[in-house]
Amino acid sequence: MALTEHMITFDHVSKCYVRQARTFRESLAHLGGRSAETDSPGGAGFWALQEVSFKVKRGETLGIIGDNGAGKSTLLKLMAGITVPTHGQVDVKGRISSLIELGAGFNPDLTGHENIYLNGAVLGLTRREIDECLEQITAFSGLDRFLDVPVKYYSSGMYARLGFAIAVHVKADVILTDEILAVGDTAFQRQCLRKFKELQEASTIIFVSHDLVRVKEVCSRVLWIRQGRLHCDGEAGKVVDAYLQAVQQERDRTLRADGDLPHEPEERRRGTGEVEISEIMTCNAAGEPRVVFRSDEALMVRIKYRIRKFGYDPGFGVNIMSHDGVFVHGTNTFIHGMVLDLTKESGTIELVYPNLPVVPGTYWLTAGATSDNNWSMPYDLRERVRKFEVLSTRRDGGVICLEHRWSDPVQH
Amino acid sequence: MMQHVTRLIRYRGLLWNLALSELKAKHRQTALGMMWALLQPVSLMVVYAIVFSVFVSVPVKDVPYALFAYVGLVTWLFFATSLSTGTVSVVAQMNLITKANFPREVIPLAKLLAAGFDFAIGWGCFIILLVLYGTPVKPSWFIFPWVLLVHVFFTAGMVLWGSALYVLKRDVGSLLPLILQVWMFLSPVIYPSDLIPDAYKALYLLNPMAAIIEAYRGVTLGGTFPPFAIMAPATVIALTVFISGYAYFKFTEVRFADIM
Repeated sequence: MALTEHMITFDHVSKCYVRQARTFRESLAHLGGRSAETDSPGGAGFWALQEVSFKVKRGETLGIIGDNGAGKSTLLKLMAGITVPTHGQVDVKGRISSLIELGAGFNPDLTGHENIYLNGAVLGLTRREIDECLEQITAFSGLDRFLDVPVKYYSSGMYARLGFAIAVHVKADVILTDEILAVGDTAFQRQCLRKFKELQEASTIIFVSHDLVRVKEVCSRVLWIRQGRLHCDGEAGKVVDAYLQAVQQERDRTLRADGDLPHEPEERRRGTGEVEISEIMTCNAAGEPRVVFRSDEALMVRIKYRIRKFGYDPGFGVNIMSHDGVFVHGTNTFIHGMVLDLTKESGTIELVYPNLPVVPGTYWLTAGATSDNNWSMPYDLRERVRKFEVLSTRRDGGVICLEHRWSDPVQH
Repeated sequence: MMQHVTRLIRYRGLLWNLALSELKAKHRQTALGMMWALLQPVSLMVVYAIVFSVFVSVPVKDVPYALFAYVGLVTWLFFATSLSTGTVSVVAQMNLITKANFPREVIPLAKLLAAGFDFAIGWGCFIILLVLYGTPVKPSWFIFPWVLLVHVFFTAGMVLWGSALYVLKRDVGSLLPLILQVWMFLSPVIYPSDLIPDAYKALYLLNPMAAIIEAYRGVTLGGTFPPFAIMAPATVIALTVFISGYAYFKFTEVRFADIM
């Protein structure tokens, strides 16, 4: 048995939430009407999880991914013993520290110091055990000057810091986490990540996050929960990539659900009107309309135009802005020295980006047509006319992922 | 049952911590702080003493009415405060219940403990007064712990019942003040049980609170041993309420996080 020591075992676990009658009146109605018990799938209850089975070994770091409402939180609550399964067996060995919500047990009227003891007690520590790690907790949180202040005066960042510091210093066999590495400033996040890696050596960690980059980085194995079922269980990289692809397809479908491209409500348009930009589309390399792109994919901007009055030296331009307004890239036909000889009344021009080396996020397109590179008085300028999303599994800082390569260290 | 108790003992730190933080949070924000623990029963005592010994004369044997009422009030306040704060406590801590796993009964029991602090101060001051007035310590005092245990177990049982029921049925919250009001008048808090006609007396004393208050008074003021015929049923009822309350609480506990 020692070879396969399973810290967590889920055996055909299903969880059904049933709305409870809250008042006497409701329960009276219940009695009078029918004895509505939902004990089988397909009943009136909501099945948050169905037939989920898996085992987690000691020392494993297991990531759990899935859309909102897929059942990740229910899974965590079952592991923590906060709720019990409707069917099946859940078995968790050893002491559990749950970081499902940092500082959940804080009493706002008490000081930071008092809350360390309170929160430690919630996690099942005795006073002496907390005494032993009080110094580490204080040092880790970096809040020693504020420990005599009631936590209601803390900023949300300080709150999370203290919560994290307490939760990670509990010596636990199984650590359950939910979006914990997303708290505080970057310096504290780095500190958390370091501590996290340290914990990985000794404990079994369950890591629930929407941050797929992190999941890939810290987990060895990932479960993908989809609509309450275990959709995929395997090596982290593979599962995350499969999930990413599904997300991309799904989001693309919903964003383009209406068939025609929707009008962006934030669009601003101005121009003298000699040339009209009639349609702007974002497409993949094959020319199929798309709104979600992976950073290694090609983006093709297709511009359809109509000419009302032929003018001198016409040209087109495209700008890409990030969601928070950073001007990421701009180009136009004039910069490229192109002389367009437009003789027909309408046409299409395409701009291709072979890949999108930008950080993941939402981006806005601005497209326009003008004469003689004069953008202060354009023919037609459509600002924020389209948006598209970029997904990525690489996460460098900044705006643009510059090509780069690290050498192996040369040691002297 | 035993494994529940073992687990509860392991989490005694949390029980203590919750009770203490309740007290700290409560007293830190009031100007008089800890004084309130004493002010509440004393001020009630003064009011009742004026009403029932000046306006309406309630016949009380041998002792000043103020002392008589004080014992009843301190005893009743512990019960009523525990029950009213304890009943809503689990729902009030739902944030904690849906986020962490610990024996849920520590939440209502911490309220009991916090109320017990006021109760201890109430009795402590009373005993100091008795000593200052040179009242001799009578052998009846040895029964005091027994009465106290019955009192605490009965209250704890009621709090466990109340808090578990309140999670399932919020009507309990609206019903409780009414029940407590009626219950207080059905107990000899501010009048002696001698006023009850003999025909109903046996029935009247089946109310554990009546038996407990009478017993406290007998032990501390009258120096008499409470009759076994009163204490025995009270003890049995208190233990029954406690054990059934604890069992019911643990039975419904697993559903708490789902219901909220």
